[in-house]
Amino acid sequence: MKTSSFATLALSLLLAGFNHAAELLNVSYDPTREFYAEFNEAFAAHWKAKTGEAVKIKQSHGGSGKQARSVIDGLKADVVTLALSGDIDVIADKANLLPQDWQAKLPNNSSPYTSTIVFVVRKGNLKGVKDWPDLVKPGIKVITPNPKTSGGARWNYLAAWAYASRKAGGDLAKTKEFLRTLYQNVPVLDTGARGSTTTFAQRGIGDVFLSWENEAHLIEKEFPGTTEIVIPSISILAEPPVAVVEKNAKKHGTEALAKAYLEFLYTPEAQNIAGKHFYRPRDKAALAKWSQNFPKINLVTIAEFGGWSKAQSTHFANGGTFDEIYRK
Amino acid sequence: MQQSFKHAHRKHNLKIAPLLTLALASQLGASETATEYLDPTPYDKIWGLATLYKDDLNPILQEFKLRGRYHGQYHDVHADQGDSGGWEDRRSRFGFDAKLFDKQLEARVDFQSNDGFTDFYDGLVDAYLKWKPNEKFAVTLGKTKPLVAYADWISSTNETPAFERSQIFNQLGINRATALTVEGDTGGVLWQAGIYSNDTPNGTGGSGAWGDGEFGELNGGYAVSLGAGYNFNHQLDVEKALLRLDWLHSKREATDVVLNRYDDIISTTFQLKEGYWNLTAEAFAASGGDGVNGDVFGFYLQPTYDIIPDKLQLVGRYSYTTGDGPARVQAQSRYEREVPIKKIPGVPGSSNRGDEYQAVYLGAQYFIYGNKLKLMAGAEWARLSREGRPTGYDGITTLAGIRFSF
Repeated sequence: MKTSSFATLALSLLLAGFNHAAELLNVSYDPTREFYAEFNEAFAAHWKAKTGEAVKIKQSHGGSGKQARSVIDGLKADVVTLALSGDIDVIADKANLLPQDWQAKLPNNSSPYTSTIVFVVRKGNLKGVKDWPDLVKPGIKVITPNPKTSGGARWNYLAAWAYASRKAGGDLAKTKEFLRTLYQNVPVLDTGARGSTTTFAQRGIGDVFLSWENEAHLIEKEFPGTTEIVIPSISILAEPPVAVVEKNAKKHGTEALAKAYLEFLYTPEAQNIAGKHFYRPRDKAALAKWSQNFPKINLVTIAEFGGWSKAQSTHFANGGTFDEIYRK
Repeated sequence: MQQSFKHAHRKHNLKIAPLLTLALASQLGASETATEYLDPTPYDKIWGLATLYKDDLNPILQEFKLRGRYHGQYHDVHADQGDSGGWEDRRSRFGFDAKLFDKQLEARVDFQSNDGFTDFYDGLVDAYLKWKPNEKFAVTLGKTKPLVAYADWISSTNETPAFERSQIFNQLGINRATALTVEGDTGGVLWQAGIYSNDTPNGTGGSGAWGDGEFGELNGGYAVSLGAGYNFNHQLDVEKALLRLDWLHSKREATDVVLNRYDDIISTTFQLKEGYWNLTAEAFAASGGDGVNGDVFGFYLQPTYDIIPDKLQLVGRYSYTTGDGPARVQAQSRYEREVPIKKIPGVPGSSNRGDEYQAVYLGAQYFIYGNKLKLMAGAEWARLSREGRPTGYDGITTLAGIRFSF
């Protein structure tokens, strides 16, 4: 009895020791947490069925710019799923961990879903926030993260810029003045979108939250009956990109797994999960299925700002327009 | 008590079957979720305590963080010339970093204790203000490192993989100086220029008093530096392939205490990083010195290999130095000079010196919390030759130590 017990224990430990699931580190931005939690389950099941191999996906979430810096500084991401292509460009440029043409590796410029920026207001919208001009009114408190560290915050800033520039007929000084006034109404600059969500939804600070569209719906689900979504007259087409961090994946022996992981994002199953989590699917069938969540919005694109590299240096680098307008 | 143990033992036996089931289930991946989140480790939390203040919205002070470090190491020298050994507490430093005015201004102040803590205060190490209006330009004013020897000197000793800097660097007389430096990145070309005061004291000299080990009087000689570099990582398709050339010219005076051995020092550095491998190659040429400090040339090659990434690293280094006279090259103060290296008969100032030096180091680093807390061990064979004369030094130093910094 005693011998067999020890034999059983030894066998158990042996099996446990051999239980070496393949691992993948996905370094992502703040609001994708819920989406990737469900997507990872689907992918793990798919991978298991296809290869017989168990897979564990480690997730790291934070402000997109900060996450890119962490990868450059040594966070061993196998894949990055960030808020904007500029953040992945920086990884390619500074650390050469993936090729500079990374965006051509997957369909739709390696952006499997899109999103946009909307307003979230308190239930009843007592401050009457309907569009961008309402955000610069005295007494309005606007919640948005720090564009220096958050990808979502950069989309917010550019969406506001697009409105202000049109309103001012392209007058740069007036555009900056609009942004300056708007950011004077921002009481807290969190480092990431999830931090701003907490500030607005849990801590109850602010009248209007400039939010990723999916995050706005998530707030409605998490805090039912407390908020409303307001669609502004103009917003921006956000195309969050994904990429294999090729040199890290090669080092970890996860190249095939990482590639398959990102390719799976484009499958109908994953596109359906994206739609369910309020990301706008690229797949037409999935988009149609979830269309009630995605009202038509007048969207500008990053091309209007000369692409991410130019937008970054003009607006968000040290000494850029954000530094200029954001003086406390 | 005995009964209780038996009871517990029986219970454990009964639990073995479910354990097997659990292991099998785990093997099949049936009962686990596929997602696991990276959370801050206990080390992250402990080290985070050093950040006493952080508020990006404060228009004046955005961050205030304490700094400190300690290096402790044991050495054991076995040489033809004799044996030596012991534990040494060294590089103990304390200070702070502050980020001000939209993080464009950085202030750093570190003071040091001398080796063995004889004096808790033994002068300032780094004490400067750095103005960094953008990521590609920085001006530094204060006591700082002269900008030469990019790998062996500019890189922190917290991060260097061997216990000691190379022999060639250590004999050049370079240490921190009161300075004004400018660094930039223009289209990917890294450049630097600086001017340094050669009368900057490196410690209190044992007085332990303020006024003896800070910025000096700025009334000695001075040195200037110029340098440039470029990262060829894209051309070579590697993570890093940085090539640098740096030059330091010193207008020396008799009373100088730093940068006072050579008129000119040139260093060229190549750092290659790809996958598990790193290679640093750095070469030096120094000229214009007096007496035994005649012209010297030396280099070292330092590969590292990650046996277990981020945990265990193998380190190697080959060092070579030669001079144009019989006593141009000196043995390492740590720890070769602890054994008696005789003078060369008829050559003044030749104690601990020869005309050629070679060393091979082999060691390992075990990272408990990156370079902030690590254990190191290694051994270095070195030989100081004297042409036509008996060898000055030939021996092996074994080392083991701990490095801690926050």
